[in-house]
Order: sequence, then C-alpha cells, then structure tokens
Amino acid sequence: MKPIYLLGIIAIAIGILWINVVTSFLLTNVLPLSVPVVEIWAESVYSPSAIVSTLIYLVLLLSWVFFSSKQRCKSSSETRNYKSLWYSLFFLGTVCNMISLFLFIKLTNVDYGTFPSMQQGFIRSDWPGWEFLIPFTFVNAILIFWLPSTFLTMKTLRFIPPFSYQLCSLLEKR
Amino acid sequence: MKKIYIIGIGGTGAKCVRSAVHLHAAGAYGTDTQLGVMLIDADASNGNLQSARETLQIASDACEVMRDTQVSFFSGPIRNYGLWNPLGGYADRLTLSDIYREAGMRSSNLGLGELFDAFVSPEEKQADLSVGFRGRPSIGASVVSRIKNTQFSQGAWPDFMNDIQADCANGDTPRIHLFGSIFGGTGSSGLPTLGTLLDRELKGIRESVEITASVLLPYFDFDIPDDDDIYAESKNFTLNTDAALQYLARLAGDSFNCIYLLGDNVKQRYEASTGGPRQVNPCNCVELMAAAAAIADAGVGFGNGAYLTVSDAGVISWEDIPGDQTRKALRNAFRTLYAWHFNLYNELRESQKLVSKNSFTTGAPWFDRFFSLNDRSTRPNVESSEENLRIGRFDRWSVDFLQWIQEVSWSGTQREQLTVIRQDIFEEATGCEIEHKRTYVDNLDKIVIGESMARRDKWRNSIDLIKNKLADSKHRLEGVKGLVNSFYDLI
Repeated sequence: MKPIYLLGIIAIAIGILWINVVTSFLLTNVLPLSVPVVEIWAESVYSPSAIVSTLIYLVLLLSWVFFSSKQRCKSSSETRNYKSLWYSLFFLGTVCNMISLFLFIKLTNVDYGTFPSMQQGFIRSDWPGWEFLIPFTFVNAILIFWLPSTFLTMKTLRFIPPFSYQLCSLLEKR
Repeated sequence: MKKIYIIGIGGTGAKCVRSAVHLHAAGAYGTDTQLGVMLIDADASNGNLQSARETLQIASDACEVMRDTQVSFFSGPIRNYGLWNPLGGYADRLTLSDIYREAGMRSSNLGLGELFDAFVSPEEKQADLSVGFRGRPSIGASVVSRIKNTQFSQGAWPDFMNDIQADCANGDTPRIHLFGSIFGGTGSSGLPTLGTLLDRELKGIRESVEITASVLLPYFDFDIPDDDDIYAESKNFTLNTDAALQYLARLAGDSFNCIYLLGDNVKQRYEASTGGPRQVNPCNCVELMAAAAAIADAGVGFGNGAYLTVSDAGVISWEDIPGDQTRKALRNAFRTLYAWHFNLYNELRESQKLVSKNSFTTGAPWFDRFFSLNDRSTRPNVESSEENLRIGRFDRWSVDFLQWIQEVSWSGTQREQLTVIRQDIFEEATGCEIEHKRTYVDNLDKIVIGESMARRDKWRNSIDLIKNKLADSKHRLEGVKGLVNSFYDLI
C-alpha cells in the first residue's frame, strides 16, 4: 500500500473522530447551546445525526475513490472536467449533513425524563446554536471528504480535489 | 559502440534504407549503435530515393535534438554520407556510348569497339541513363565497376572509407551492409560489384570489417511502362535474378561475410514507371525484413545456407519479423508513436496554450515529472524554444514512421497482419503553432494485431494508464526526450 493511502485512512479516522467525538465534546462543554440539558440533547439529537452524516460522507467519499480508480481520461481537459463532479459531491455531503441535522432536530422528541428543571418529559427545540452547527457541516466536509479525497483519489483524477497537488508535493518531492 | 554502415543501391535499396533508418531510430539496432548511411543511384530524381533521403533527413534532424545514451529512441547517431551517383562524373554524358567514349574507342582500337558492340545492343548504348539503368544489369555493372578506376575518391566515398578505417584502428568491428534488389538494373549490377570492390579496397583491414548484404529477390511486378526507350520489364526479373545469383555464387560470394536473400511468392503490383519522381512505390514488408538483417548475426558454418520463412504462408505476422530485439523495439516504438501522434502531442500543445501549468497538471499528473510548472523548477519549460524544436522534429519523424509502417501493413497482397491502422490519416503538424486538428485516442489494444485481447490487457493498453505510471515516479530524463523514452519503456 502506498504511504499516501495510509494517510488517507488516517484522515478518515480523524474526520470520524471530529464529527462524533470532538464536535460532541465542543457542543456539550464549550459552546453555549440554548437547550435545557446539553448532554441529553447531544446524545439524543446530535449523535444520531452525526452517525448518519458520517455514513453519507463515507459513501460519497468511497464512491469518488472508486470512480477515480476506474475512470480513464483521454486528455488533461477531459480530466479537469471532473472537478465539477468533485465539488458536487462535496456540496452534496454538506447539504445532506445539514438536512440530517435539521430532520433530527425537528423530528426527535428528546426525553429529558425527570430532570428537575423540566416541567414536562418531552420537548422539541428550534435549531439550537445553528451559528455553530452550520459552520461545523463545512468543517465536517473538509475533514471527512476533502482531506481523505486528496490522499485517496486515484490515477488520473488524483489532483482533481482542490490543493491535492500542493499537499502531495509537500509529502513527496516531485 | 556498434558501427553499422548501410548502403542502399537503386530504388529498392533506398526503400530498404528507409526501413533501416526507422528501425535504428526506434532502437531496433540496439542502444549505442552508430548508423552510417549512403545511397547509390544514377537516377537522383527517383521517387523512392527521394523518400529515403527525406526520411534520412527527418530522422537526422530528430536525432540531433533527441539523442541520448541508454534510451530507446535515437540512442545512436546517424551519419549521412549522402547520395553517390555513379554517373556523377559524367554530367554531360548520360548514355553508355558517351561514358565509354565509343567513337574514340572505335577509332583507336576497332577490335575493342566490336567487342563493345557484341556486349551492348544499340538501344542500350543510346538509352538515357539519367533515369537509372532501366532494369538492365549489364548497363549498371559497366558503369558502377568504373568506381575502381577512381579508387573510391568520388563523392562521400573518401569520408566513408576513412571512417571505417578509423573504426578498425579504434578496435571496433564495423559492418557494411548493402541493400539492393537483384532483379532490376541498379541493384543487381551495383550490389555484387560494390561488394567485390569494397572487399578488395579494404583488404588490409578486411578481418575487422564485416561485409553483408540483403539481396531482394523479385517481390513486385508492374505493367509495361509508357516509354519509347528501353525499360525494365517484370518478365525479365527471373532471368536477371538467375544471372545475378550465379554471379554472386561464383564470383562475388566470397566477398561477403553473409548474404541474406529475401523474397515473396506473392508479388505486389506497382504502377509502371521508368525512373524519375513518379517512381515512388509504397514500402513493403520484405524491405522491413531486409532492414532487420542489418544486425543479424552473420554466423558461420551454415554450409549452403539457413532458411527462414513465415510461419503461415497466408499471413505475415509480428512473429515473422526476425530477431526478438527488432520485433520488440518495433512494436514498442509503433505503439509509443501512435500514442504520441494521437495523444501526447495534443497534450503538449494544449499545455503550451494554458498560462497556468499548475492547472494543466491537475488533469495531467505526469506533466510535472517532465516539465516545469514555474520558474523555480529546474525541469525544462514546455514553451522553451528547445522543447518546441524537440516537439516539432520528433513529431515530424513520428509521422514519417507511422506512414511507413502503415504502408508496410498495407502491402498490396493484404496478408500483413501487423497493425490495424490502414484507415488512419497521419498528418504532419504545420509547424510549432498550436493546432487541434488531431483527434484524441486513448486505447492501444487494437492497433497491434495478435496482441492482448483479454479485457485485463485492454485496460493495460490504455494510454491513460501508462501516463499514470509515468506520474508515479521520477525519471532520469526530462522534457520531451524523457517523456517519449519513459513511455516507450513502460508500454
């Protein structure tokens, strides 16, 4: 296995950790969210949404990698046309991430149980801390889609993800 | 360094030289081989000769900018000794009667004049020899043999002989290989005669020099030309061949280390023409085989000879091209040049058009392995005049090569099963300007017949895949030179 593919796998691991662990930690311990109990909200709403988003990103990433391994291009200009496909997948992942968050927030009834400050067991909330969650979807896409794709994109499409040539040049003097 | 000196005699000899130059440029004669080339013809305007001279010039130009040791294309120099016209010393006298000063001869020695009458018919005496020896070996032999009077001092002969002597002094073993047909006029008279004269002239160093020849037996014929004068007739080919072979066997055979006889039982039909620019015939597989003999082991102890034939009488395939090295080099060169013509050339021109080379590289990961993307790189700039010259000259040669191999695979008998490029049109670029007339091709799996039909192999034959392999590692050579040679090595 080429060392660069190992870096790609590490990048995926970092992305998964970011979405599922680091973001959760930031939401519960650092960022001021307007929900009654942040821990319960994160566990009931954010975590399932993060898992679904992670799976969507991974499916999109692996589809791109598989596509790049099979795609043959006659010319440089034909290859460069696939930039639009890469950007489409990137934004599709981000949009799916947002939709997933939105749906989980809107449709999940959070069970705060007998928590003392709560007057009723189940409540719904509007987008809590959207000013953090929306930028996070872009960070998610960057960490779990863009970064691994710069290392894992194969053959002729290898430099199609933005800045992949610069990153690869840093790792290997060309 | 291996030294091979080839001499093409007559129209067929010139066509063999064209094949030999392409084989040498393609690396079929091995790396680090020097090729010296001389052409001999009394008909300087002959179309076949002109084609050979043009190929020689194109290949020499490309060699000048592409040459490098330990590479496949143009690894050895090409030394062009030019054309030697046996009638060159008789610019104002172009009949046999004038060359032998018949009137003077007859007045000074009547017996000699009558002997001249006995050997030469009145038509032959008065035939205009500016278009060659008209398929009459007797005319050619009497003209060519006069070279011994000049002690090889005419034209490029002094340089040619000096170079061979210098090679021997350096401890090399040069080979002189003659090409010519034995059924026409110039070749059948010139080849045995020259072989004998060279053998005598190099007597002092003969042990160090190999003299070999590819002698072509009748492999084409043509209709009677529209000519009032005497002309070559295909009905005489067998008779001419018989006489010349007898001469070779009895009198000239010992002058050669080895003679390769080549022929075909099916004759290719050419248009009739008595010399001049109109006498330009397509190349033939037999000439390719003859050219391959220039590096064949002369061998010893074959007695009356060794016999090599095609494996299937109905088909001429890659397996029938003699020599593993020749076959492999020719196939690789052909595939590389096809990829160059329909892909790499377009790509380089496209890269020249783009201001941002970084942008081009995102779609062509191989590009930065050979060319610089910015001023900080030490690699050649694809837009530099040197690289532009290389692109132009290499492309010109590649077009000539592809046209040549297309003609070979077109050979009239339609038995050649080498390539499927009969319908392709190979057009020379009009210069160094960027043009986009050529279509892009990616797959090479069908162009070499009899190779790789499995799906896996089709994938392997993708130009894109080879370009990816180029992108995976650094290469010793950069620029156009590095690109084409690395492609050749990977294909």
